[in-house]
Amino acid sequence: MDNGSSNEQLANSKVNEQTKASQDGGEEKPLIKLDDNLDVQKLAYEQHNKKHDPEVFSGNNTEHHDEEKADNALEEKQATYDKAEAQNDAVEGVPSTSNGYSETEIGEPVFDFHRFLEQLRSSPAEPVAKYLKSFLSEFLKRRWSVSYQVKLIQDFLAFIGEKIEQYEPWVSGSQAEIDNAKEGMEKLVSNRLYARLFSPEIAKSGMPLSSEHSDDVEEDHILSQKMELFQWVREEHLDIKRAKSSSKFFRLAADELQRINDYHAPRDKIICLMNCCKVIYSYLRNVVREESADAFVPVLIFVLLKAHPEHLVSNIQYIQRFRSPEKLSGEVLYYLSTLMGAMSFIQTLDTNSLTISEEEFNVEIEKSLKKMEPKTIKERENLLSVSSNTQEGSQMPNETKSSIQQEMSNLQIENEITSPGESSSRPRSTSKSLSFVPESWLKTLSSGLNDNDQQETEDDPYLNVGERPPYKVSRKYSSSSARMPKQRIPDTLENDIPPNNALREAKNASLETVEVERIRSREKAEAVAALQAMFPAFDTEVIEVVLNAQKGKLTSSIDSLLEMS
Amino acid sequence: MASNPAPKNVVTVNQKLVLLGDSAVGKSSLVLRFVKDQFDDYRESTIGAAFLTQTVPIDDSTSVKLEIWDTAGQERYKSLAPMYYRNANCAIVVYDITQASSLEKAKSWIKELQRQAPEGIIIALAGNKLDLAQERRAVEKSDAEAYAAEANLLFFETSAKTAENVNELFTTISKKLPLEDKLNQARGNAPRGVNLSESWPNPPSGGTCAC
Repeated sequence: MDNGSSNEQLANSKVNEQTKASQDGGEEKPLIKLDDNLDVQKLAYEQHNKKHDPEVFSGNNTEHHDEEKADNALEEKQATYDKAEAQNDAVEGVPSTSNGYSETEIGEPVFDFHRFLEQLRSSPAEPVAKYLKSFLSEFLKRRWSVSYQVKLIQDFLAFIGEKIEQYEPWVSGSQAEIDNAKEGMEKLVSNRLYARLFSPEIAKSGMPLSSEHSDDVEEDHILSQKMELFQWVREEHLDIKRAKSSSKFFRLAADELQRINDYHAPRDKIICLMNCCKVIYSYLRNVVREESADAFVPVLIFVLLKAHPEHLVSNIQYIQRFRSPEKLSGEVLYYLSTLMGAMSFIQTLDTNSLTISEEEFNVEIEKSLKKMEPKTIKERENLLSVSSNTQEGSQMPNETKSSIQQEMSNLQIENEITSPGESSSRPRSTSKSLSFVPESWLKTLSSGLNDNDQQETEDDPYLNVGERPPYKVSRKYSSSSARMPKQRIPDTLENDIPPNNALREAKNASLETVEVERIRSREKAEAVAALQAMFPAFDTEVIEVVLNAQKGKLTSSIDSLLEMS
Repeated sequence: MASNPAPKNVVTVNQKLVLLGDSAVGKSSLVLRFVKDQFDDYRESTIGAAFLTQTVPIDDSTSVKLEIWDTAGQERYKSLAPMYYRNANCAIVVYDITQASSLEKAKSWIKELQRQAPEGIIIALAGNKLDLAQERRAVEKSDAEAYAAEANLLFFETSAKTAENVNELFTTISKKLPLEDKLNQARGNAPRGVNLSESWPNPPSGGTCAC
């Protein structure tokens, strides 16, 4: 079973490298003074490293990259990292003083996707690999509604989870090993099926969109326009305390958030969000010295506006649909909800949302609208071409409205214009209001399994599969998996395994390897540049050493560099 | 933090606690005081103080793991609150005893919770900054207490600074949570109990299974 990793690479070859490191730092005063004694510094970061490595959401850019562009050639490097880490573990750690409640953290086990892929390729795991292959090929044969997709994938992961517990190499391994494999399986499945699961990808491929997928794309567009409309918002409008270093923190946090589109697995997208939040906390700790929600929320809103990531609604929906419900809980759910709060704040932003005079607000809006106008029309045309089942174009007003209020409400209700023309099986659209985005999310957040999305799947054996609620404290374990006819999948699908593609895939793989290596080194250079911008007083060498010691994790590296001052 | 917070036969039930109140009444100080004063063993690491967890032992066989959701108290973020109190099991609404207006704000939160939050949510009203009572008290304890009784709320005056009544507040609210359903589910579901007896780094078998 060789295609495990090569398909993985194929799936990831499109990874979009839009993130650019912040370079704008030169003119500001150094945040950190360089200590003369390099040895002391080394010791400091090694010790620091020890306690930061296992953080639950270590700023694991490298971890991302290793996984996402997984491939054999990288494993050697990974082994070097592992060695370095092992050495660091031998250094006695000093207790952190920066952050009272996380100094004793142990964190969750490190997720190792390579390891999982290797295990999957081993011969005892062949049955598991075959099940996977069958499922993937069967899934790709048809187009499914969102609720089907969620149901099928959730049930498959439950099914394969049980298989993982039955076969080597996992059956004799530790629980952590099994959990790693299940996490790996979620990632592998979502990577492979991304083009069918992530709404903007479906739109890009030119395939007709289901109503939910088309909603996602529309809402992306509307949020994006709103964010563009409010690009002029500054820190003081949100009562955010400015400091010399703050713009760099915000830029870095925004960069982390933008990466959400670079990754395909729900877990990885979540890590982008968590990394963004971690950078915001670095700012709060070092500049504001307060880290309550009172302080955090305005900064997240500001960072979100600056990041202006594409497809954000689709990303959130995708995470809610395809992240394991057990993992989409607690802290992750808190920050996801807060991000959704920030998005809804931007959706409904008006004069009263900001510390600004009405005159200034109106002037800024007017300026923004002028800038946006030509672009918006073009975007609308683009949108029209991808969402084949909407009638948007014909009703889109092209004339210039003089009143700001009119323009704004135009932006807001644009989505409604498109709704009536669409299929009648869309109860959700009709109830959309100006604040439709939060509303639909709230519904998702609060709804139970028996939601009102049923019309679409009326004649369907999985009738009761609504959009699953991403979070329920009392969620009962895998109540749905019982409904899945488990034996059927492998029995009927196994015959469909395509003939040996291994050779072709192996060829692709080696090309991929080169590409992956290239991207990887570029990313590292960008990370170094970003850190250099933030810490101009440090030599490049020092920054590289720190970055390596932190396994390329940007946020940990920032913490280290801060501590080295 | 990450160690197994309780002996094996103790069932831990996750419960969501949302923290509401005007900005600057000391919402997060209250939580930080509570969390920091507890045993480390009952604490998990989080990336920042807006979300914290703390396990509170209820009796010999039961613990509650509070997942504490802080909210932004500024007026302009009021509309975001439903995102936070969705699915909450309990809420602490905080006001500042030196600011009469903050009690009015608290009352409006409580009305909203009673109207919109999940049925059966346990609500506590907390008058914070008790350490300033001598020189700057602006809200009489008896007034707030009477209001709390009428609205069927738990009530405490607290000081995040001196820790007075802070543990009592969180412990009392934890003990008032109706856990029977969850416990039955947990015991019935023992081998697979997912949200229960969750320990952080090495979940018991099936604990945080990704399927």
